[in-house]
Amino acid sequence: MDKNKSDSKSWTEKINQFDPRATIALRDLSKLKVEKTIVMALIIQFAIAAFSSILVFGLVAVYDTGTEDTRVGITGEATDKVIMHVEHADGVEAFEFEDGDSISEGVSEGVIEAGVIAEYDGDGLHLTIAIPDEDLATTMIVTQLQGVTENIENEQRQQVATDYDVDVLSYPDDHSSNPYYTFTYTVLIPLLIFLPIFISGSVVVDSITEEIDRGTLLFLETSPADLEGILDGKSIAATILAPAQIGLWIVLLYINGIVIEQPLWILLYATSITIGITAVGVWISLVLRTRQHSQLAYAATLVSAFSVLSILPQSPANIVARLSTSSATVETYIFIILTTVICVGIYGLVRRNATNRDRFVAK
Amino acid sequence: MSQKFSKLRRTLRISRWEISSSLPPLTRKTIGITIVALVLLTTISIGAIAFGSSSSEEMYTVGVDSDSPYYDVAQEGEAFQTEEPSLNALREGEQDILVEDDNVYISGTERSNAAATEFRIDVRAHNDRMLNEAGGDDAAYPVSMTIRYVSTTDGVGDIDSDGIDIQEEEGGGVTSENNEQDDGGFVSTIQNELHEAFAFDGATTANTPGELQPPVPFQSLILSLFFLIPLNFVAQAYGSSLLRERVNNRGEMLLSSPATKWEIIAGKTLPYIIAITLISSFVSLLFGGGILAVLAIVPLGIALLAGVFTAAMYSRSFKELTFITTFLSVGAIVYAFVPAMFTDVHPISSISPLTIVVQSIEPATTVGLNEFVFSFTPLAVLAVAVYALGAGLYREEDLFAQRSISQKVLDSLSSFGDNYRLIPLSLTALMPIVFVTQLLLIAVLFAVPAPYNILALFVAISIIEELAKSLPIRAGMERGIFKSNIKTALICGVLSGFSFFILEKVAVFAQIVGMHQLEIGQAAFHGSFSALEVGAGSVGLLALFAPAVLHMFTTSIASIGASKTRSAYLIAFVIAVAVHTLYNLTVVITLG
Repeated sequence: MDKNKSDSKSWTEKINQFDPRATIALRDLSKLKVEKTIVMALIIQFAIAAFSSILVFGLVAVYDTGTEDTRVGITGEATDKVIMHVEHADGVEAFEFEDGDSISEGVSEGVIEAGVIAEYDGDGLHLTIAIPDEDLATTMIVTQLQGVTENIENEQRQQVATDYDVDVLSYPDDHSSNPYYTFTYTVLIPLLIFLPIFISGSVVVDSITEEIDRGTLLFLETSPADLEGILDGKSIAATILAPAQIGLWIVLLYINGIVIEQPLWILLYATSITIGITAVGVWISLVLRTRQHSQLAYAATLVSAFSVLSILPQSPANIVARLSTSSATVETYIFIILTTVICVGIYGLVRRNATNRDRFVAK
Repeated sequence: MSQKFSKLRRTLRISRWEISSSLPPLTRKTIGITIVALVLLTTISIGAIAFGSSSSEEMYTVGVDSDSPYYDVAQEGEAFQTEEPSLNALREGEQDILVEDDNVYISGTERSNAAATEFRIDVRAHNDRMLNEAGGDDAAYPVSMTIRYVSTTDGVGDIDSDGIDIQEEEGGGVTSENNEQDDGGFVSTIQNELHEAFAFDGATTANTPGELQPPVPFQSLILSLFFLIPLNFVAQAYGSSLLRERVNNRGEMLLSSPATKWEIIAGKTLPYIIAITLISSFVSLLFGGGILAVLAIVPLGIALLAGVFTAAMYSRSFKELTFITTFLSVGAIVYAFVPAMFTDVHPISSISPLTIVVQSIEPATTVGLNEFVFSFTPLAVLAVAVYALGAGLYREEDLFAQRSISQKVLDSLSSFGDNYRLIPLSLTALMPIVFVTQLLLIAVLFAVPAPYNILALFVAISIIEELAKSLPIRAGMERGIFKSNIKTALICGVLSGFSFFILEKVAVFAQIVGMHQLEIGQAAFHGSFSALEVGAGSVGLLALFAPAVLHMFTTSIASIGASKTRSAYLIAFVIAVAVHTLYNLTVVITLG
């Protein structure tokens, strides 16, 4: 309690010198510093970054054979057909074998990494794939064989298709692309962009419900700063935090070799959403008053809002994905500007209603 | 007997208070609003899954003529937008794929390759559909497959072919149709919708080339989010309620009642455990998982609650608690998700409760008892240990005081006893945390380039272990349980080092019994994990007792520092860490 008093004295003094809103924002920010919570926030994000590098680089490394080709033993009536497809593919090498037993033996002893026994089966083709029952290595071999078997299948299909008068399209070649490229830009980056925003809103809810709980909101209100100013200050603090973290993210990802193409648009979009979300957080905490109820309502509102937005032709995650790969269309920019207008509008609305003191500050 | 009964009654009464104080008054209005909100929330989320646009919508650009047969594929594929084909646009990266006649060109950039992979999937799906419409399964799947798993022999010269163990797996027909036998009720419609959305086709054996799939981790990620985000809400509410008790001395009344500390904690926690169970059951029902899925997720939820409980005891403000809670939730998601990526690939995946959830959803697999025990035990031990640490602070001096976190850590450790017993007891509580932190570290540092990751890992492990061994001593010294002289410090150091050694051996032993194969570590983490195993000491008699001597020695150094001032402790601690790291490095270099 003593600490609180001395604290409040020092900032009331400051209020006389500076704009009260800036003072409140600074006070909230310095509280974050004292409590070292910002360190926690960064640790959380570092954990996610590490987690993402496990995904993006680690799994690729695990599934990557390296420089050596995977040796595939082939036998059976359709040997020639299979050999042709295996030789066409990257990273696999074909060896002809006598029979199924020698294939099993070869896989068992590690002479070959996989075996294919190809027999005609009526009009179709039956492939028996022999793979070692080791786990990680098998996964990698399976990934490589999939491309080959799919190509064989498509060739068979093209033969069959003439009977049915269907145009079977041939596939683009199976290049060993990074299987997590799409995942990185459509799931991971949107997650990393929106997480700091959600946390910012959550911090505002905490900040206000805590003032209400300790009875200091009333106290703040009697200070030269009016309630509007208090809310401005709290929102400013939260609104600075999220884009700062996102900016840090963009730099970190860049260092890691993941380029985000339109960082400024992403920052604009993220800042707008933060303004809207913190305003919603302020409103919810003023209405519900306790942290328990406010946080729950805040979370539920967020989930609903994002679910509704995902029905739009360009969902928030999609907008971020488009911006970061520069696939944005005119509609994307329209959506972003609309979001900005709506979010600032929400903020203004909350600010105007919050000044209704009788309703919110008096118990 | 009647005493036990009254204890239970007290616990239940506290639970009732907890429920009535955290829920708004049960008027017709609030019940109505809650029901409407719940129904809306569920409908909206399910609607968003079913009809929502994908986040990869129109991410890639295909240059294709509108009369090309590929035009329809690109139009229908949600990840693509189409343009007039232009070689220049391909070169400049404005188009990712270019289709001319029957040829598909790419520019060779990472993005273009990724686009081609996605396009290939869409072309395949297009062919599937066209042929299926024209001639059914016979036309669409002219190639059938059987997978044969051959056991490998690592020994050179072992050519006895009779010894080869071959297992064949063959399924009849197209297995994905199995799912369609249902009663057509409302729940099963939603289940089918979700199964389709997340590609749970129930097939574990490939019958056509398209079904030959490496394990894709995304469905586990989605599942973990579905189960854990609601758990995060419960954890937030739990933390709020606990921290509220600490503001303005609200918890004073409960603390001065005849109820004991543990009765109060149990009473306050019970409603949240029930909430977790109900929510997990609901999510499990949505995905068509069984009771086992619920039983697997609940321990993770309780471990999360344990973390939040301790965090609420430590934190000084709501904000601090929010950050710690978010951190713990992210930790829980990582814990559930990372091992689950190896579902159907490696036994280590069963450490994650999600693996059991996935297996209980896929109709073709059964969950073994040992897999269940394997997922349950570490979480249960962790939860108990963390509760024990947090409960040390559930007393008047700590609940209502604004003390710094480091002081609180010492308080909670010193609450384990008032003589030398304190050291082994508090170490037992710290051990699961040390163990889980080290596991997470291995996962995190794995991304760091080669020589540095081992070095960083060793330094980090030394810091964690020395901290765990010396903190109880520091706590005892600070709170006057141990005398501040060299002799006591040495006794404490040796005792702590030895206890740690024994506990570490017990943990390693449990690990060997539980999972006899750790080649995942070697395969995935290359040198670092095997180096760790050598460092942990498993070679020969010398290597068995050398770590014991090391632990006793380094902890004695730290202990002497801990008996003096704060800065003396810090210096001694740094020396202890340096010695520990050097020892580990020497062992690895000489033995490895």
